[in-house]
Amino acid sequence: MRPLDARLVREVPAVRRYLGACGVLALASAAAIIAQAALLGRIVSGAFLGHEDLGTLTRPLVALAAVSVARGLLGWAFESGGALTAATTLATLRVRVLAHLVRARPGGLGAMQAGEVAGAVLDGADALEPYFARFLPQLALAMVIPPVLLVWVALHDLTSAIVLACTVPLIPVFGILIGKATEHATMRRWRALSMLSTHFLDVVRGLPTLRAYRRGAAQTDAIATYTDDYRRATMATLRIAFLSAFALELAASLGTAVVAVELGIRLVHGSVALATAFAILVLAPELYAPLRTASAQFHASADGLAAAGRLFELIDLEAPEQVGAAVPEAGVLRLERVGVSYPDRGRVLDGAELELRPGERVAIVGPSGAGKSTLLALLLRFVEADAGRATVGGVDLATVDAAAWRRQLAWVPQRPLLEPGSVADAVRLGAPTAVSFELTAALAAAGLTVRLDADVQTLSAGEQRRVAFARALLRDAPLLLLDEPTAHLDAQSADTIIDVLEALPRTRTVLVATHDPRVLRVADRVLELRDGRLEALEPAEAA
Amino acid sequence: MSRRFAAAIALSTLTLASGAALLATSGYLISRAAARPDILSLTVVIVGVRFFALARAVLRYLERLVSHDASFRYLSRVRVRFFTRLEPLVPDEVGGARIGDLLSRFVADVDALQHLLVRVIAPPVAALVVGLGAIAVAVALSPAAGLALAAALAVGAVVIPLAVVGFARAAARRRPAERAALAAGVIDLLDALPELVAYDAADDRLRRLARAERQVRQSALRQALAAGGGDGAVLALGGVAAAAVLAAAVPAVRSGSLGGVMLGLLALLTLAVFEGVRALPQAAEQYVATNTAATRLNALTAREPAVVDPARPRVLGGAPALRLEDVHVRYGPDEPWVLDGVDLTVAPGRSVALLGASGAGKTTLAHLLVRFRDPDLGRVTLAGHDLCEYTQDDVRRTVALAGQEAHLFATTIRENVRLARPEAGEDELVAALRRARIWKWVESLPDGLDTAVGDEGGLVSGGERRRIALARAFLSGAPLLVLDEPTAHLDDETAAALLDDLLDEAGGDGLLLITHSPLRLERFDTVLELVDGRLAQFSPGSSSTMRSGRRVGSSERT
Repeated sequence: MRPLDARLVREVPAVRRYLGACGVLALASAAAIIAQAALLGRIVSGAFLGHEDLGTLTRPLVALAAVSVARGLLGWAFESGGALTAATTLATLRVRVLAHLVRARPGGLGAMQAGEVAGAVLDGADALEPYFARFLPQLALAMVIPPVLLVWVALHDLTSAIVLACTVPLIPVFGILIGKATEHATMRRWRALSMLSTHFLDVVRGLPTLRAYRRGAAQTDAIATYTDDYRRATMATLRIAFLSAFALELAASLGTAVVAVELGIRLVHGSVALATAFAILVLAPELYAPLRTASAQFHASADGLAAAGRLFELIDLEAPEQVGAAVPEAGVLRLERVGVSYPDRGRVLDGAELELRPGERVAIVGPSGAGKSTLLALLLRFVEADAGRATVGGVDLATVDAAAWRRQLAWVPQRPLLEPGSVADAVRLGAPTAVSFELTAALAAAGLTVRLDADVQTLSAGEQRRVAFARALLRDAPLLLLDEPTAHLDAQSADTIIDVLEALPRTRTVLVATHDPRVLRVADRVLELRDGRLEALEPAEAA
Repeated sequence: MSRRFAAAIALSTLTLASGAALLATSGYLISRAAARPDILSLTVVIVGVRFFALARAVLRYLERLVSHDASFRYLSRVRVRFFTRLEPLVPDEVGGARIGDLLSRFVADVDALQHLLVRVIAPPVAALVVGLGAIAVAVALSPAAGLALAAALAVGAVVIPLAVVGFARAAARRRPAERAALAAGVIDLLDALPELVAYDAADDRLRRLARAERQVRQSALRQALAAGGGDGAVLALGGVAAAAVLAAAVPAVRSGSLGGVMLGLLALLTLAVFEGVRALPQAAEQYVATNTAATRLNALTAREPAVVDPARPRVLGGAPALRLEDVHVRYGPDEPWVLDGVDLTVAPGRSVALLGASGAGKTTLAHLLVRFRDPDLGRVTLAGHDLCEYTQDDVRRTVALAGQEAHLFATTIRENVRLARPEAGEDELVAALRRARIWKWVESLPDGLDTAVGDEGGLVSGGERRRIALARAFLSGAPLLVLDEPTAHLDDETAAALLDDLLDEAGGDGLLLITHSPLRLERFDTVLELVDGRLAQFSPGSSSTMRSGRRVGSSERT
């Protein structure tokens, strides 16, 4: 378990800057702490042994107050800097992860995975925040303050420095030793804690189901038993896990006591000055404090790094290289023995051949799962061919700039999903500069009369499909890709869509994947996708 | 408050007091020593220093153990208390479309209460007791110094935490809206990713998200400045207080009313007490968080259950036909009617398909049938008597609902299905799964029935989840089945086969199928559509209520 992830520092500039700032702030804090201690020693000694009055002590008193205020300001900068870094890092990572997903998974993530990604991207915040806001600043303080204070003490009183130098390292050493011994128990404890809260969450989220099957009230006892079981198990491990904290506490307390006693005895012998002794006594707890706090925050580091790790996993998803060959004007689209396979589905396209000339209407038929949507995804550059190649105007599609190529396409997916917003916005996605009468006309062509400012969420699924169809019609793109345009539509709406397809000018090429025999009547040719290959069907066979 | 709570707080106070005593006696020790007395005269003080050092470490260990134990016990109590209050309210008094989010927040809120003792109550009590003790010591030595310490503590322990509470409240009001906007942006992007990429709009959405991020960052900065300000102010105040106490004590030393040997004690006592005060700004922030959670929980669970069991329930007998008679439902006195005069019969041996656009009230209708809610007007009868006359358990033993919100628990497939009838045997379990057309899949899994489905069924697909929930309804043995969209997420062939099986094997069961899909409608005895709160015979030409769910943000997550 490393306290700091090198990659986090490398990838997010804000972290690097913050770590630098932490070092500087920690040094300044150390200076303020020393000044506070020295001034206290000066004042106490001056008033007690030197019999000074307020007249001569005013300056050190004011200085003490001023140094304390400075220390407070440094503490403020520390805390707010940490929270700001947390927010900045998270924002940076989040946008980076999403931008990468757009490149690596343009065809979408699938519902379950999208939920997971949304969780990692959004809720990871809660875990990373304490890491930056609390653990990292404490780590910087723990690494800078004890050595600096120790050097000052050594310069003024070597004996005390030796005593402190012997006890201070005990804290990390104890911490590591006991940490190792209890690592297993501690891990079990965190797992138990997370399982504990998961169980309750599971039961509460399942309450509607439990109620429907008359098991709601029965859960009360289960919750109490479950929570109590885990309390017992957890307390057993806590008794050991807290030992490390106890050792740290003991080393700090006894260290302070030993220094006090040692200083007292040497004061009696006159071998150390009161001002120095008092300053060292004030410094002793300050030396231990950052180490104690940092080790108490250690679990924040574990949680935070786990959250960062999940985000990096997403950033590491393989993405196709960005290539930028120009898109040829209106060429023939050809598939040459194309193969596409998925890790979980195996080979979906296997030696598929297709020639699609400008202005042609071609229908692809085949049972569900045959790979019709994959074929369209290939043309959309959502997936890449792993055998053969797709060409347009003789140029390999894989070398063409993806965004420029997609501007040639208008696509209606099998299950369109419209972003929340107005109907106008949804249609305008296809043609950002379209004016409202063009939008209305496109909607009418898709057989839909609906207010442009209507909320798309209030539309039925059938209406939403027609909005997606209108959007594709309006898009100024020569190639129209349609995935089951009439599925789940009633006969009347399906007819409207088929009529529109039939009336399309021959400047537009249409490739339609369908089950629906009615759609075939608009096709010049019908191909069947079977065993990963495309085969021409006779018109009679197709109908 | 329990004995353990009191013990934890006492231990926490004693720990802080030992720390203060350790520093104060140390300061006294070296001041005494500086006057170079006989070393033997210091023995008592030295023993005191060592004692307080040991005591602090031991007390701290005990305090952590006792307070964690008390927190866990408290957690168990609040979970049971709020769960008991929540249970009769689900699903119709709590929730609606966002019920999943609401329940998750309920859990987060309940769990937030466990920190009440350790983070909210104990620090101020300890700081207050030790602070008052320190003031008493200081006043006894020098009234002026005592006054200075009291003034500094008043600022540090009262004024600053109150200011933090004010800031934290303001931030707590703003933050959820900004978080929600960001979350909506992320979810919409992930949901609509293919369309956005195909239409070249993904980069624009990313830019919009970056803007939302900047907004969140702005308010995070504001909040951080406020929280860090509280912490820094207490840190500064500790040193300033030491200076003030010394400034007040020095004239007393000059006038002889205070021994100079006590100056060190006073200075270090002040610093040590402020160690305890440093926990207060955070306690104040935590107080706001805990308080917000408690307020939400009380508001949520204060509602009256919509449905209660009768004092003398009727015994259910005979062939149970379920009938809605002129039923009206609305969500509030000024809201429009969601169901506006619905008549419907679900009887053994009959199958009814019900269509309707999203939000038309189909789920509300289903909830009436299992008595999750009662109608506002009209009545629901079972075997000829009003549903209100039976116990809810009897109703739900007769009518099984496999709802859209069917939840898979983080356990095995076996336990998830057996939930409907724990006493069912293995063969009945297999039969139910087979009827839901999922047994083949279960059988093909290496662990079969003992396969874990993951948190919230995360390891199974949407279609598998629906079918496991369906098997649950079959296993329940209820003679009337209400199935809400069982074929969502299935391809047409599987969906059609599932419906065929359902109808072929219904036997004497009564069936109400709620659906968007036009598949196999011709095989149902009755096909109805819910339009504008009323039921009408379904006519295919006029309808367009089919809907396919792929959205992660809403339906998929519940």
